[in-house]
Amino acid sequence: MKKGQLGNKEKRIHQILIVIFTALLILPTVAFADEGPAASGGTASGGNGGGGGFFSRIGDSLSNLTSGLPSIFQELSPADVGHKPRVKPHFAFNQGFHSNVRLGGDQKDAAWQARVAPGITVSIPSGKLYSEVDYTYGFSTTQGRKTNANINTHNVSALARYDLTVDTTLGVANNIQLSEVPGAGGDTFILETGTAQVTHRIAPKLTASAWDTFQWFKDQTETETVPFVAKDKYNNEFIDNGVGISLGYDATKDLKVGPSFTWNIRNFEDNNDKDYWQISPGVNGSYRLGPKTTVNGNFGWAFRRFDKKGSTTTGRSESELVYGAGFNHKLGRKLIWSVQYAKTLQDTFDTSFVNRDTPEAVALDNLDRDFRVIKSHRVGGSATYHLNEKNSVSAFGDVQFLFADDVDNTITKRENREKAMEVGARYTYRFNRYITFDVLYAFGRRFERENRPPQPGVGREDYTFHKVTGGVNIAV
Amino acid sequence: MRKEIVGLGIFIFVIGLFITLPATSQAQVELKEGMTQGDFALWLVQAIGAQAKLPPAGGADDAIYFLTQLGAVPEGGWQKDDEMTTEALADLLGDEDSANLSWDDLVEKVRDHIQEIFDERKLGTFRALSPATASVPAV
Repeated sequence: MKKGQLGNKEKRIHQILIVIFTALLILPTVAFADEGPAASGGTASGGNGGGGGFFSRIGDSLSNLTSGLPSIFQELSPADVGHKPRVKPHFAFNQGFHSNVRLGGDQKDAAWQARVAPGITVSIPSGKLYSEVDYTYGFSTTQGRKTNANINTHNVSALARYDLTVDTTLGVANNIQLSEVPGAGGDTFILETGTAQVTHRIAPKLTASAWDTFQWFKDQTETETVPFVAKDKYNNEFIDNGVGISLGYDATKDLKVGPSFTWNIRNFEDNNDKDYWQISPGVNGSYRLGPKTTVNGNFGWAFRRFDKKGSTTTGRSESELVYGAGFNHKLGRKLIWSVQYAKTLQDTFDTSFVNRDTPEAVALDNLDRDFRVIKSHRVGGSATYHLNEKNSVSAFGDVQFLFADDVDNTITKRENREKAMEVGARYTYRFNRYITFDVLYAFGRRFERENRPPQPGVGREDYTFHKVTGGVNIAV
Repeated sequence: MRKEIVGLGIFIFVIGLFITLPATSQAQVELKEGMTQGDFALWLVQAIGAQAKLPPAGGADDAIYFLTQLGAVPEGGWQKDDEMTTEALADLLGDEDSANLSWDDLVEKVRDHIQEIFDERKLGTFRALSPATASVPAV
């Protein structure tokens, strides 16, 4: 077994741990539920009124469970927020059907997918210092006729925030993700992101912020699994360091505007064709158009200088205007909707294997690993309608247009012109303050791709998929 | 060489950050009647466990932006230097009948209400990066 890989033994341990964790969550619930409403002294907030049904008993039992826990496990009173530590276990489970799990691949395959993700968050306020740590374990499985993949993931986040003075705040955040790559023999990828930031109010209407973000991405996918000649370039490990500064000026009560500047250096381990530095000056602003409408936007310039030329004569740098706009509107008291558009300059990563906690438009996020720069236009919108305090429905839609030149494809030297879209709707039922059920339907399609013949196992084929999932989230 | 420089820069920055931390005393954001809307927004984000959704040293503007994305907007919009009144709290609840409640009761109801919305949507659409920053793996 190679370094960094998870062997069968470790996999089994992971699976056992998740079963134990799940049992620890469920068994006390059932045990308390057997005691009935009399033992609870009342129903949980938002419960269904002591009707004596199964769900009512679960709600009561959760209420009992939390009241029986040490105080750090209990929900804090408003006055205690920011003063007392808290331990918050959370748990998510969802499963569903995906009509085409091998997006962009040369073989279609429908599959059943399921994911369980328990975790725990510890927050410790101490005077001016606030600290928070979260660990979430995830196990997901995809089972189709041609696909059989089980993935263990670990996600650790930490945050420390310190109010140095009334006007100055320091913050450090770190997130590390470790996950297996499905279908790659237990290979793992690691994504580490650390950010340090200082904000300072220079004057009553002027705030400055400076930050440094470090990122390390290591994909240990075996090159043997890549049916392709450019194996040395398929290693996607990189480090990135970016510094930035921004100013925000409250020009009026409704208008905030200010400049920003970022500078990034990205260095790949093997595929040095993708190495670059980039500067991006710009202006950001937000404007309150009315009592219920907020508009925001950014406009700037991104200049990316590569260490190597894309070919013998061209492709040493990329210079593009980058901009975006969006608005957020609250219609009545129950409907909130928003639309965003952004033109950005990106390079690409193969993250299709990541089981993200962001069900909306996940297929659009994965841009494979071929290109060192790609121009993206993305427009999306979402709307949420709260039927009542227990029921809500939401919808989303996203369309993405990608443009990349052949010289910037470090592997096949082929350009990319493609469009992809994803739409969906979700119904959410909040059983009580601890338990939420949801059902999601999503439809996605990539209907134009780079102008080249399909190459099995590589590339970005057209796809169409339907996805239906349902699940439960529990946060004690 | 570049790696070493970048690593050293990060190391110095983080170490310097911690060295500058003096002894702690009093929390900055105190929940109290008469607090500003900006301070209340910061408190509310922490109360619902969404601190990690803000930039590490995020301020009132970041908290207000985050809450606005959730649809939590009082009538007239957030005014970070204005007082967080009972009327504004009732607006956040979207319930006119709540205007008769006390400030403390409203705060608790608002916390629960926004917590519910956040729990529903935290699986969804939040992105910490602005479009102007460099791209990162989407996770």
